[in-house]
Amino acid sequence: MSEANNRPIPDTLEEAIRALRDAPTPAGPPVELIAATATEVKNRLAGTAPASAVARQQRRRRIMRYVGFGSATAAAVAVATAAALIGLGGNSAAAGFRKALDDAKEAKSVRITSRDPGGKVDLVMHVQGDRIRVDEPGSEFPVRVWDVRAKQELILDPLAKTARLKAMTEEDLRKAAEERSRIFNLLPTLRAEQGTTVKEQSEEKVGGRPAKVFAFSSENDSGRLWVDTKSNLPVRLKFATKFLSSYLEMDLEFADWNAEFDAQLFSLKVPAGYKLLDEKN
Amino acid sequence: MIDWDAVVREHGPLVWRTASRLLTSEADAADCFQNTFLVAVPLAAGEAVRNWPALLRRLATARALELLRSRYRNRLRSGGLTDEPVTDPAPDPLAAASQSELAESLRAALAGIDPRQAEVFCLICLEGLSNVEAAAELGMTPNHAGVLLHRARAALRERLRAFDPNRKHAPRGSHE
Repeated sequence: MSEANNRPIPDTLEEAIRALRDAPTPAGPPVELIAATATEVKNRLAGTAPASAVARQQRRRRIMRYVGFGSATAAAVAVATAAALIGLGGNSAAAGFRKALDDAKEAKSVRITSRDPGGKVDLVMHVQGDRIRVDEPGSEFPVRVWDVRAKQELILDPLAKTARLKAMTEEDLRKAAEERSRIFNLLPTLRAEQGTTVKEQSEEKVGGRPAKVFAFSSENDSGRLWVDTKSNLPVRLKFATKFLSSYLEMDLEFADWNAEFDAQLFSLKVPAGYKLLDEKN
Repeated sequence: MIDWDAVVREHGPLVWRTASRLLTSEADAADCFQNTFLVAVPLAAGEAVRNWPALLRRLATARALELLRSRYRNRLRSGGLTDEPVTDPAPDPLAAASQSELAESLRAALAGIDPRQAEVFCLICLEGLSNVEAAAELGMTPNHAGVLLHRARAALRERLRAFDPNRKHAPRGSHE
């Protein structure tokens, strides 16, 4: 009698239960998520209408802070979501936008400006290669610079004239790579969804330059994307998408695709007159 | 008066683990996390909560399974890419890949079975509750929970057959 025939057959279900039960989970929850959740609970108890402009703005700020990379992540989500909504269908609107995504994928740099519901600029992000800078006055971290190659992060508070310089953890680096990928490689993040309506509308001017306009809507998202007719790159994205039990409204402008930004923007040197709060890790 | 700051702080890690185990997307896990506490608000208002961990586990499991089903439905419709898992790489890539595949297979299978069965299964087999505890949380008899668990396991076993590495090598009989 063969011993192999007497060997018990592993129970795949039991193995799968062990695998899922023991699967590593990320450390958490993030501090910002705890704070945002507690606030939302209190808002719910107080009956605060989440649709108010102030609540939306505050919510967006909290969401941006919670996601760690702040608007870097939100912007990437916004552009990737818009790209996903357009899909890979055969209509000319989708084909036109697909071309724009192909071109965006090859970009090395971009400047993204975010506006609040009142139209006021509340955040500016510069991306150049492996470096990202986010300027968000009024937030907990008004200026943040990530240099993935140097694996360092600089946080500046221009009002308090303080600086913190820290090493990026493996988790930070992974997130930075993900977000950078999402910002530029829109095609790989595309998830074509049925039921999304895309229409090309009349051309409009953005920054004085003509732009094609795509209006899109689905069950959870609706908005408009403007694509420069000459460069064929996205120049503005305005939409609302379901996010964290509410709706995240985004109004983003894209500019300086492939520009060479001043290296000082991404410098990790503590500016003169700033107090360094933490030692370099 | 419930101190919600303390509730979220104290039980947040448990809710986060429950959500992250089933949802590989950090954004989904965060969505589930927040929804769990928001759903708990009216429940806590209606009746004093005697066991916060058990209640939050149940709510988080239900929310996570809902999101899981939704993601798999979308994935089937679009044929799109999966979200990046948020776990750290393990020291042994091959073993990790195998375990990771098994875990993902079970997630996919859970998304396809009866929701009530999936919930009972998750509470007992993943969260470690006993039949009695799970039944109490779900408002059913332990016997009913046992039946649902049995059906869940049968359904999952069937769905996992496609991923069973021993399926082709099952012994056909003894040979002397």
